Amino acid sequence: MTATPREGHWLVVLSLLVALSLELTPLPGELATWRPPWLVLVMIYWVLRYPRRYGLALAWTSGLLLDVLKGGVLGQHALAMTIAIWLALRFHLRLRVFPVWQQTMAVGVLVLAHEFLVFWVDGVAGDALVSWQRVTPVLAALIAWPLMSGLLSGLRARVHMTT
Amino acid sequence: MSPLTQTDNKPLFDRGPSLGTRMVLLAILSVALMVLDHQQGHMETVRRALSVAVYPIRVLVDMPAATFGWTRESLSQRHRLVTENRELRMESLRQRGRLQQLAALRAENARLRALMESPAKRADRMQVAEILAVDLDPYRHRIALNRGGQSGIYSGQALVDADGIVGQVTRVSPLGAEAILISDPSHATPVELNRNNLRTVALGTGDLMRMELPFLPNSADIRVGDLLVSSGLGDAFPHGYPVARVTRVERRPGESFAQVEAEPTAALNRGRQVLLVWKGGETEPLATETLGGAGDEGGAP
Repeated sequence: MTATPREGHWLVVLSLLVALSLELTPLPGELATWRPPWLVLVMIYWVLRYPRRYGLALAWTSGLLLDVLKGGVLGQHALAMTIAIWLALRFHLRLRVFPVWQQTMAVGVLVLAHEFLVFWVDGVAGDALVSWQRVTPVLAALIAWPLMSGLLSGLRARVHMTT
Repeated sequence: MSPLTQTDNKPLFDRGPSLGTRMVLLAILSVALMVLDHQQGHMETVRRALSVAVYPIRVLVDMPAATFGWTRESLSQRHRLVTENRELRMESLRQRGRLQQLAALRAENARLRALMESPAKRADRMQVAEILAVDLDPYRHRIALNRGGQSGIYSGQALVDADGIVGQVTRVSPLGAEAILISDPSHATPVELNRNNLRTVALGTGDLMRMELPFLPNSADIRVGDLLVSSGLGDAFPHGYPVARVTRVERRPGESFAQVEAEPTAALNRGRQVLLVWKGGETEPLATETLGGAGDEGGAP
């Protein structure tokens, strides 16, 4: 990989924007709770690949944007993103050498922490609905992670080949 | 795994605060934001600025649905459009016929109110807004609208559709707005029974087809099929719009309150358009005529 660090910034920004859009895309009724937490998945991918370039500040900012988009309490997703990305950065050396299935499980744990924080803040803010469906985003993330990281790796390789 | 770039190598000496410190600082910042936003509502200017910045994302997400609607309209066959047009014209005629009666009824109502020396009711001004096809949160019933402060929308404004009250505006930014549906578990609608003016409160349950009326005593005169209309108390909703129809009344002898459920009359999860209501926005010429300006003091707050 010969790319300088500046190249590929646009790919990161673009993927985060797409993730933000996917967080809002309408899903048919029963699938509404099965939405994978796209933003945190994309963010985990980038900090695992470039832990020195992208970090907590970007995670916090994109979490704040998600709060505004979803119309929830300001700071809710920012907090959850910060903690999840901190965990990812803390263990990135181990996470990035894991085989795919093991990495998926580890990402599942990070997403679980993320979802729990979101749920917790909902509870403190007073409008939490407790149901087993609260864990469905984690299951969806387990399915989405291998596909998404494969897609982003492909895109990354292609971009660096042409530029 | 691709080989590391130069910048990915850990430098010998870390500059700046450590990872843990940064995490703690950002976490504290988030908590401070949440407290300021949730308990005091101090962050409205920040939120407004940010929501203008991210509004294009909402429009972008809404685009497939909007394009789909537009394509279906432009590709539909001529004879279908003609049939639809004819039906709409018939409907319009029927409704205009009914409106003629309404004018007479309104005049009569104003005269009767004048006799009772109570202020006349004014007609409400309305504007159409479109619901953006975006999912905000599966556990809360919130919707995003395509009109905002620039169209004169204000926080707390009532939303209705063709069949009844939909919800109220919770947040306004210059370009868009957010609203809460009456079925949200944290929403309560002041209502009265259309049949006997019995006043109570209808709570949302998180289910689009069900509302609860938990504050009615066992002896209350309420039956299945009764229509609940907004009572206008609490100043949130204008008086007299349909809210829900009673679907279940259960009186248990051991308990002091009856268990009453109702189904919202408005199409909460269907339909793409809603009406925003300005309370008493239009002055009623008839009312001022008969009352000699007495209608100015009450009617609209």
